[in-house]
Amino acid sequence: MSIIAGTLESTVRLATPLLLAAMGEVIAERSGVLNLGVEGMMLAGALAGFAGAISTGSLWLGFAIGMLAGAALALLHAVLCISLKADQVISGIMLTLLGTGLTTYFGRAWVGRNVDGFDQIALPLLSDIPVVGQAFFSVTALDYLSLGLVPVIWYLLFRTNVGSEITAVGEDPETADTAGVPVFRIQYACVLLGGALAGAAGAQLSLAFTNFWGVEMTAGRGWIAVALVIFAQWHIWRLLAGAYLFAAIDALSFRSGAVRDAVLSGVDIAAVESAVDFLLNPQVMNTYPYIMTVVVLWYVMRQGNLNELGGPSALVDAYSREQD
Amino acid sequence: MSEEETILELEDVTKKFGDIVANDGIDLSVRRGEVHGLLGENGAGKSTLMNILYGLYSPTSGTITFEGTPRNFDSPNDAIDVGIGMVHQHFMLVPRMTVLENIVLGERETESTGGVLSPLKRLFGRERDGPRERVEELATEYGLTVDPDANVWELDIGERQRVEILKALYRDIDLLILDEPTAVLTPNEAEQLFETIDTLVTEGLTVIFITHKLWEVEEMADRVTVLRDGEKIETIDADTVSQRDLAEKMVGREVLFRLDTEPVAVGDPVLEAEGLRAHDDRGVSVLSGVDLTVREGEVVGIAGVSGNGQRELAECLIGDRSVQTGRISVNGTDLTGQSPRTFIDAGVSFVPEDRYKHGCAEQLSVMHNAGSKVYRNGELSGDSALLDYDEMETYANQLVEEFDVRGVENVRETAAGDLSGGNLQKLILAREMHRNPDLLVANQPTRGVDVGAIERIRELMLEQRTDGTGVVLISEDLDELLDMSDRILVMYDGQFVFETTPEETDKWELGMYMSTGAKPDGTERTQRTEGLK
Repeated sequence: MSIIAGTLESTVRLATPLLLAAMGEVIAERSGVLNLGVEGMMLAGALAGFAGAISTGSLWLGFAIGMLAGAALALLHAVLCISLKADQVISGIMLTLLGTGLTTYFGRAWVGRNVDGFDQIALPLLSDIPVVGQAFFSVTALDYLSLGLVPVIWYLLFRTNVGSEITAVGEDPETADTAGVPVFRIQYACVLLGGALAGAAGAQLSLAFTNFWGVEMTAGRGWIAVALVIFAQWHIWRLLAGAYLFAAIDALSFRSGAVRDAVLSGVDIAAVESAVDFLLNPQVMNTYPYIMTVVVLWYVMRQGNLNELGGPSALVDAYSREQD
Repeated sequence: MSEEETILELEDVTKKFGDIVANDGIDLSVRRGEVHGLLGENGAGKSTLMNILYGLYSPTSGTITFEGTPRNFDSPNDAIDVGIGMVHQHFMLVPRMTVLENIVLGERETESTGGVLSPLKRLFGRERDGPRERVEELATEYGLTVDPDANVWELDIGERQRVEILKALYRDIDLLILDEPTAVLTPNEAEQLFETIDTLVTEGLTVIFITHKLWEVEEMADRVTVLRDGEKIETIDADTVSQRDLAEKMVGREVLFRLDTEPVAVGDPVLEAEGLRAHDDRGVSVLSGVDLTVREGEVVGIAGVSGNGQRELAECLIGDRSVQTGRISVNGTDLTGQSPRTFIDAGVSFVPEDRYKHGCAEQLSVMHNAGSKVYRNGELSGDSALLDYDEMETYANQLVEEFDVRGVENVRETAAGDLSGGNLQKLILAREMHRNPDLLVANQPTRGVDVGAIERIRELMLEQRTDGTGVVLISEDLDELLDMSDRILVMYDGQFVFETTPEETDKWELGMYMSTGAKPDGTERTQRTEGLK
């Protein structure tokens, strides 16, 4: 398989967890609740999904259990931050640490086992297109699902009554409240949905990508999803593009050796070689999503203020009705 | 006798926040079709009472009867459902959403065909064309013109208020509560609002009008209920009572209406600013060539509709905002481009617009806030290099005493942010004036402050002026500017468009310059604006 075709194929599969988790995070954040626990919720989803699939013998049931596990952790975050007005940043980081710790402990029993993961479904005709066909039209049901969710979530957020209410809650909960919007119910629903999508992202990793469970197997993808939300400036379509961009970097970093050789073929200058070696080092490549996010932040903030970044105005502010 | 019909009855309503009693056994009866004024100082409990009525707060005890039925509101939604609408003092609009989106927010009345799918349809459907027609109808009916597709952040204050009223009307209400609706309006906008209220009442609505401005009660209300310190004083027919009596009932003692503003001899210039240009927080140019000179013992009043560059000008004058071009000198020394610290050391004091955010450290004690400027010169350090808290406490107590800051139990314990607006403002003035500055820049020093405190704050500033301080007074309260200033400048779109003195002008003329930036044309003064003189 050529490097390009191979890279493209893994890009699609690596984009799915980023896309699912980041869409979940966008929903939660647009309702004003920052959840930095994506990494923890993904791990919970990965383990619960894997264990669920093996125990029930059904991949789809396992996937659903993974989503529930993500939502369960998110519920903890929701209770702490929405009902008890705890600090969202602290609670979110706690959630990541908790998810890491719990899955490491409970995951020991599942290490070394395998599952027959989701099969690739080749779409007739489309999958025969050279290069692109294999990558985009011969993927698992979960990859199709994640792509299918993009317009659905866009429609939900930007074209429905409830989407308008979510925006209002994230912008100004007091205003939403006085307009008769059930602020807390909306926030709970968004955080839980966000958790379920993060759980789904984790379950995709263990059930359709690696097909096994490994300690801390998400390897920072939860954090990349958080960065992706900022990178995409809370827009769903940019999120889609960003997920594929970040996934492509990830896919390339798996093949950094081959890429390096391809780039350097015929080049014989020591300085260029060491520069390319540095830039294509897998560890260095893992920082690219964050660097790109910083560049977006810098570019936007340079010409304006935080509002123009696109983040919800009331993000991180806990709302309570009778405060004065 | 339909005019005497009672639409709303509050009985013995009490609301406590912890130990603080915000409303103490209040009875209120409102007749159908009247404009009922609710008058009281800030902190008298007006807004709390109305928030209870609107379902935002739940009362500690007491009953609400609306349209003859006892009601128990758990949320604003319940109040809206029975026909109560409210326009809050701080507008409840989402700036990033359009007018139409704001108006229909929270409504899920998409034409439903019934059946099992209708709850889903309400959530996932979209309010769009039906609402647009209704909004346009209402706008025409009540003369509230506004573009339904404009984003709210693009609208000026008057337009936003019209959106708020439309939003309430859209819910088919019978009773509309207006919480200090004129606080942010220019006199001309206020006049428009009064016309709207007239229309509302003609169309059969009942209006509760919260205010602490006496002339508004006289102008608008049929009856007025006075609240003081969380208690109801009485309900009176508005046309049988004088402003002076109302003021006394509201404050609980006689109120001085005119300040003694003997001009003092002006001295050398303390502030000279030339050709100031500056950007706002978004990087958009807001000051386009401002010249300003203030002399010792002179109060220069700056009028203008909020957002015309006053805040940025104030920040430039204290070194907190960098100027693009132009020079600022204080006492003859050029300080252009220097830090706020240098301005402070040069004798500039500042009373910021947002007293909670920029005027104090809310969480810190009164003591820390009182000493947060003078500590640098070692006054509060005793013999050591560190702060001496006993010394600091004595200093803070002295300020609290001297400037009559109330609500301070213990200067070390009471947080500045827990003081009421007026008392916090007195604390800030104390901190800024005790150092006997050469120049005082005060931005909206009395906005949202109750009558008693306003009186004291104005006196303090005038005393300071008598001591030779030059004062820049930025205010939207035209009475205040006319009472206090030696000169008045009107700011419009980043420039001074008009200079005058209190003797030569009146509120109507200032209002015209404020809202149009130009000399008033021959527009007829209506009876109402005549009353503004």
